Amino acid sequence: MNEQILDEVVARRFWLGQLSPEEQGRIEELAFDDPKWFAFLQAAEDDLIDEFVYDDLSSEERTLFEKNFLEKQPKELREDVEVARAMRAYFEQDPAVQPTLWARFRKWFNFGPQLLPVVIKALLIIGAAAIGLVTLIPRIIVPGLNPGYQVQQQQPPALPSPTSAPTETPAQPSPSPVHKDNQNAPPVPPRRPSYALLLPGVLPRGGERAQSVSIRPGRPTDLGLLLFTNTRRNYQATLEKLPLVGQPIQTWSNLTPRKSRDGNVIHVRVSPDLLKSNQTYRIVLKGVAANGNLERVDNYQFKPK
Amino acid sequence: MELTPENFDLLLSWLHPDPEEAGRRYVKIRAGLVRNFARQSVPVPEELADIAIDRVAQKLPEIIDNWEGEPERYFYRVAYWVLREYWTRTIITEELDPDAQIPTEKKDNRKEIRSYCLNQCMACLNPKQRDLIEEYYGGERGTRIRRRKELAGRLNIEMSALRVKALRIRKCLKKCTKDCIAKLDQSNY
Repeated sequence: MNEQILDEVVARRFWLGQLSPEEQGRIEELAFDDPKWFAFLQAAEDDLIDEFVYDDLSSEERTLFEKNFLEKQPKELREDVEVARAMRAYFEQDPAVQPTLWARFRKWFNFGPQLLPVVIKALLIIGAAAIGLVTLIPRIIVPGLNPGYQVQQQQPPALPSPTSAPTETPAQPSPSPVHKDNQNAPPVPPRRPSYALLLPGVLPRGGERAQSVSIRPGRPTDLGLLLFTNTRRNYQATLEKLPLVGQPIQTWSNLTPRKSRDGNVIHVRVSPDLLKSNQTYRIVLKGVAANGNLERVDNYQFKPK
Repeated sequence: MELTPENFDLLLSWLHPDPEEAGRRYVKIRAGLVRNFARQSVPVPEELADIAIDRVAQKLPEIIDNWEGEPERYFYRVAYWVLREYWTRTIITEELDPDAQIPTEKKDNRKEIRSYCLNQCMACLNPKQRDLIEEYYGGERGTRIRRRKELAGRLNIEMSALRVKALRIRKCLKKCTKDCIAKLDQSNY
């Protein structure tokens, strides 16, 4: 069979029902005959589903897709579209998926290996020229200027010494211990957390009791605790290590659920040093009842990986 | 739906008026189907071949008058859809999971289940795969094509190769997600 009959355009038309029955049949035969073409056709189908889910189809294509794909396919096959929707939601919700600043920088300056040395040299020359200009310009403008005096002028007003009582400077926010030690250190941007949605008390048959949660070294982990009923004023969550030994690791109070695509979700953030891979943890969720008492609502077991 | 004796007789007479020759052709077609399903990495090629033959027999009364050409070709066309259904797990063979039906009363929770399962499956990917799929599908809409080109450039592969890589991971994710959904449905979640 002539393999030329199948390319991306034809594959697309195949899924949109734009081919004649004879052409359609030839492609079905080709795809059944050769795994390569079967995969090719599946890739085209997946692309089309993606474009549908991301609203990237033209209005004509969208109509054809709905008419020929969604309506004619067995109901179960539409699960593919739903899985694609879930993937879209995952990638759009998960903050860890967003590219880091370094990744963005790298993408913007994505030079090939041949250009890179030239770019580095150019940056060095520009940097040297800038430093030269900064030191020379004041001398050119004010030839008699004393450089020492200028430096003194640029210094910020003295901060209260660490021994000063906070009440002496009420306008200044109380610095954190880290800032006390490193007054002049630049602030470190927080690393984007990983995210996982936890379901209460899920026990997949034959599977592991704890949900596995992807954690990233050095990053906090945001956990979403899915609520099936939201009947309490607010909630308290306690992180425990299993098997239970000693005190709870962390407790969060006054938690309120937020509405999301997944339903009512309570969000908690766990510091990177609190979770260890392959250790099982449990979050016990308690709700504050109308009389103010804490009542157990559910528990969420998970295992970081 | 089971293949009835009437449907099977009609199928044989369509293959050839002479019953003996029809039988020989039937065996040849079935062998061809089994061979192709096996080539497509199906672990139960005989089972899928029989499913394809059943479907042809059921569909035959509708197409028999207008069909032109070798009957074998029609079997292959039907077999393509059987194969596709198999890979999307809508055909439940004994080798897979005969009880993996989705109870209707659980359908309200499908969104949560899907989301949970996807999270689980993402955690099962190795870091390289996860990074690739996140970069391939993640980020802002509208810049996806450019980002994918850049990703292909960084990995030093063609766009088509990147697409195949992403497709493979996506296939695993899809399968894993569906398996997970089926398991949760079974556990009466």
